Amino acid sequence: MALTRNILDLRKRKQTIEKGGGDKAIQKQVSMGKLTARERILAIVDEDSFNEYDMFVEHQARDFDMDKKVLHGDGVITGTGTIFGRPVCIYAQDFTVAGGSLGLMHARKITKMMDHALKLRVPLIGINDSGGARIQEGVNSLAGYGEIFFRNTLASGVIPQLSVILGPCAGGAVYSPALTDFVFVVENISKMFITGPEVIKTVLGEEISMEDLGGAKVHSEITGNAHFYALSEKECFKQIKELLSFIPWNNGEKARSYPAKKPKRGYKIQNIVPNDPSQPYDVRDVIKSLVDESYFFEVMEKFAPNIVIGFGRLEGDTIGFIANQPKYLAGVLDCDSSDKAARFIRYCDAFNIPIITLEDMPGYLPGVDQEHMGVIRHGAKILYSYSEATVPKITVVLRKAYGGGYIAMNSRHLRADFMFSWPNAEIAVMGPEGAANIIFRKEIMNAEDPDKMRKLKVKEYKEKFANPYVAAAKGYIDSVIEPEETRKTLIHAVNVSKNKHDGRPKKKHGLPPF
Amino acid sequence: MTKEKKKRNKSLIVSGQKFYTQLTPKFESRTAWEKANPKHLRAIIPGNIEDIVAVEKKRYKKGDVLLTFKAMKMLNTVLMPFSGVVKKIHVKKGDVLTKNQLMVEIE
Repeated sequence: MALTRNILDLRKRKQTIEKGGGDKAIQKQVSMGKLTARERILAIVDEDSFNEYDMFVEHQARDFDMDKKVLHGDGVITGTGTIFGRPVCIYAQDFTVAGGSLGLMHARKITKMMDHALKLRVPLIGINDSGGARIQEGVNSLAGYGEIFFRNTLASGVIPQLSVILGPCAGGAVYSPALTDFVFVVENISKMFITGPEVIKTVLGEEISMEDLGGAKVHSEITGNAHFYALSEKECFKQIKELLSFIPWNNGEKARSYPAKKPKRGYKIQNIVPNDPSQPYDVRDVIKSLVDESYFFEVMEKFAPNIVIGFGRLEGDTIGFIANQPKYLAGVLDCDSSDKAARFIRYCDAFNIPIITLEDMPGYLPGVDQEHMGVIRHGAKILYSYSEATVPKITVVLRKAYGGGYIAMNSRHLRADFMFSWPNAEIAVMGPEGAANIIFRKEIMNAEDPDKMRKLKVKEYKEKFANPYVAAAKGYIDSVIEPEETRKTLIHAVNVSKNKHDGRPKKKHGLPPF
Repeated sequence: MTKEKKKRNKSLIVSGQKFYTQLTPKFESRTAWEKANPKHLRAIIPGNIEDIVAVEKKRYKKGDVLLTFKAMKMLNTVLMPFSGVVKKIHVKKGDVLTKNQLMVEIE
């Protein structure tokens, strides 16, 4: 029967295409410790849920003998599937086909998926493993990149966009991940840079390995380009799913709710924060003592560790946490930490995730390098993001809130909904020592024993001003609470804010200090 | 509680108060600021020396060409910023320079 013959022919065609660049190329991919593009997609989506499209797409390049070359799927696999039973759009570049190089049709397959994801209001997951532009296709490959970047921008803030870097991602290609919400990298496998080690060597004579220039560690610790770092692809896929469990499928929805669970008993909130404001502790322990099952899913763990960002749940609902981390750099705000927190605040705001801020911060990091790097405009980003955000915004002052930092960390003045403070908190224009030195300068200078007088005046200032009651007396703090009441108070605050409705003046867009 | 390798805390002064905390590698590897010396001409971007016109110990007027420097596929002429004597030329034709590398010293 003709139909049978046609079906057999279809199967044969599919089989050939599914081989990608062929056995030899697949062997090479495997020998580099990498999974194939198809294996990656199948490992991420629910079993039997992947539907591939544009399998039979062929490239249209004619120059440089390209017309004689067959590139299966044009080096990229695209399709839809489900994760937790909910739809996603996904694509994976296939390094075994012409090094995963991006030509026009390759890009068109990706942009078709992006258009689908945006119309269907579902997350887009892009797996990058590509040598870069397909040089033989010239300006057409540039067109391809541009069309991807444009769609990344259109979809930004509407659907979640996840970039998974599982191989090289160099030159212009890096800008698609940079425009997306979350970037995942894997040790020894991910490599991202604008100009590679070869170019740097010829132009500058500087020798550097790919790993040292743009490896997974570099982007997780130094540049801040990556949000999640994993030791293996398997761990990376687990992180992707965990992230998706915390976020909504689009900006018109709320994140999925889970059954409410209590925090683990090991975290004793009243014992974590030392009374002495100069002593460090790990603020993540405070978060863990508040959230369901003490489970905190941290974002950008290694970059700017002086601020902690991530997701946790309160009675089953997703919350975005932002917390100063006294363990590193005393929890100051600086260029990097402001940048890190500001982007996360905007993410939560775009996707209807309430924000809880845990504050314990001495101010902005002093230094010429900070000033010259532009701590003014970077620091302004955090003010901008908090002010702009209209999701429920709740702050707990754990220990100290001095100066500009007090204003920046979601203060009442930036329209926080609820401001709580622990009783030991110091909320003041600056630290007691600095303040006493200025206010009582004359008394200290003219005293017989200036040191003794200084100590006396610092003590006096501390008693009078370094507490939460001055701010509470003015209504800047709504309630002073005991540490053990914090979870209960926060759950109540989030629950009463469920139907929060707040707006900002209509505008084309604001001008955040990029 | 979160368990990690114990690292020694160092002190950091912010807003006139001393805090005990860990320093990040990025913070510790920051470079100290130095005032720029107008008598030192440095490469403002990486590139290489195409040609050297200037001669050591010779007097030049403001605006005289000292050397040409190729960077990002562009030829740039480096001019004498003020009248004076070239004390030392630290580069030679063909040299590949990194950003901030000293090219010419003026007396």
